[in-house]
Amino acid sequence: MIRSLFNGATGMRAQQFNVDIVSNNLANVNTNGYKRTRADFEDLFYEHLKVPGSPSAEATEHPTGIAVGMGVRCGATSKVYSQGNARKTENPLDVMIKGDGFYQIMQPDGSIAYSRDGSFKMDGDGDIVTSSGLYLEPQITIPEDATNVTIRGDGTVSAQVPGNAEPQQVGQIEVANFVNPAGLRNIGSNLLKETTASGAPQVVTPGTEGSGELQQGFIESSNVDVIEALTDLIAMQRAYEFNHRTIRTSDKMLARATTLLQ
Amino acid sequence: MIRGLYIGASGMVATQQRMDVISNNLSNSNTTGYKEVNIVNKAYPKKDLVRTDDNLQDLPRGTIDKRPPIGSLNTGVASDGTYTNFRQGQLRGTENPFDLALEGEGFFVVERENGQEAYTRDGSLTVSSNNELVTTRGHRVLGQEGPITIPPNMERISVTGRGQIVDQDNNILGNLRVAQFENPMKLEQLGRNMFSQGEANNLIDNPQNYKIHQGQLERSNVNAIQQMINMIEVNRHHEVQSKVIKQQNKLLGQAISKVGRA
Repeated sequence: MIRSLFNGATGMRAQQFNVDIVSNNLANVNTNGYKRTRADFEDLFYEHLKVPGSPSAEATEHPTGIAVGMGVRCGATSKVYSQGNARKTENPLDVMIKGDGFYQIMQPDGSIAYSRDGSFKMDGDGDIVTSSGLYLEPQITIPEDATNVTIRGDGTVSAQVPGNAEPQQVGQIEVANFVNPAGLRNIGSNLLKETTASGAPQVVTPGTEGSGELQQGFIESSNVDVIEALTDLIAMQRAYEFNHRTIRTSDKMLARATTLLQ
Repeated sequence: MIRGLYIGASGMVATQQRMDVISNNLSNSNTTGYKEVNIVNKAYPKKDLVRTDDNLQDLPRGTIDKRPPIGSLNTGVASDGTYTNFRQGQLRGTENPFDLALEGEGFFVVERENGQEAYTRDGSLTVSSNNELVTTRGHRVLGQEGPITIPPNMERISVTGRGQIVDQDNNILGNLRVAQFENPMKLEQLGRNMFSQGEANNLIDNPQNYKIHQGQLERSNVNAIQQMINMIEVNRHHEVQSKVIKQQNKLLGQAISKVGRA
């Protein structure tokens, strides 16, 4: 009895958590390079009131036992690393990774974070930085007066420097691959950090060893599917109501038991 | 008289257990690979009522029951067993190559913390930091030749309908094991979407009748509408039982206060 009351509560809590996750996905529907998060649920442990195969009174054995579950909880949240849609911007420093891989971004404390957001800018010194001003690693500086910045699929950055007939190579963008990108830790601002679960980064030239090639002039948009998120929300709301109804029914049953003796 | 009181009480206890099971189903209506549990009630054995004013007749060898029977009486209800309904859950596309769904009979085989095998229909997998295929809860997935290693720097992973895992160059990385049982009813719920083998339950050699779908997950097979209807039934059943007890109590009260009064 009390079990059903708390089962309903675990169900409501799980759906509430699910709405938290989906609302964050929806809030980031326009965030460059954002990857949607998914909540995975699992049932809690079971109370075995009777074990299957135990002897019954009629000298036979019970074909099944009585196992009463204890509700649900969120077991894991995982990022879905499917490719987001390409959006054309015609900005020469907007670069998209077509496939696997992450840009390496130098944090103010000197550590490296990883990002799929390729909307780069140039700071006053000609360095390539993210929208929040963090340097791309390895650091690339576009010379003063340079025009026609070109980024090829393999990550070579070249620019037309006055006085030279041919464009000059000014840098090389590298991407980092992880065995298990789902194990990366989100630190916000479109940045991720390496963990033991993600494995060590394998820094490679774009387009080699399983990493994707770069595409200049495009931005990878969020991979949140609005229609899917909204239908999920409807399902969650109904599931929340079912669990709410469980609690109310359990409450009614408890009330009835307490009023037996009047 | 007192019998009626306890019959009503047994009914209330049984409906409460039924409510526990329904609430667990409803709270897991969003749990990947969850299988609905149903509970079955049984009637306690009937009891033959006899007149008590005729005594037993003593004979040289034993006694003869000469009490005339006046009919039988049911003595209440109890929970007999919980049955897991292994009906196929709906498959849902996720765009994640490490999400696998089983169509048909059988279970993925995973290794528990204590080294024993457990069985699950939840195929949301990932790769651990030491490159092994694990569930999102961190349990190692067991293939036909033991744990499966996924080398780093893979471009693409494909899983065939029979569970063969191949990389982009068609190198075989492992074969998923699918376990089927002679008597799935005897599987015991462990929680966390896993089952254990249970007693006297043999694995079937060379399982057939299954297909693995990559990039999909199996939803919970809980039929929420059916569970809601069951809940209405439980609620009303419980109400009737409580009325029975109250009525019995009233009759007893009348017997105490009125019988024997002039």
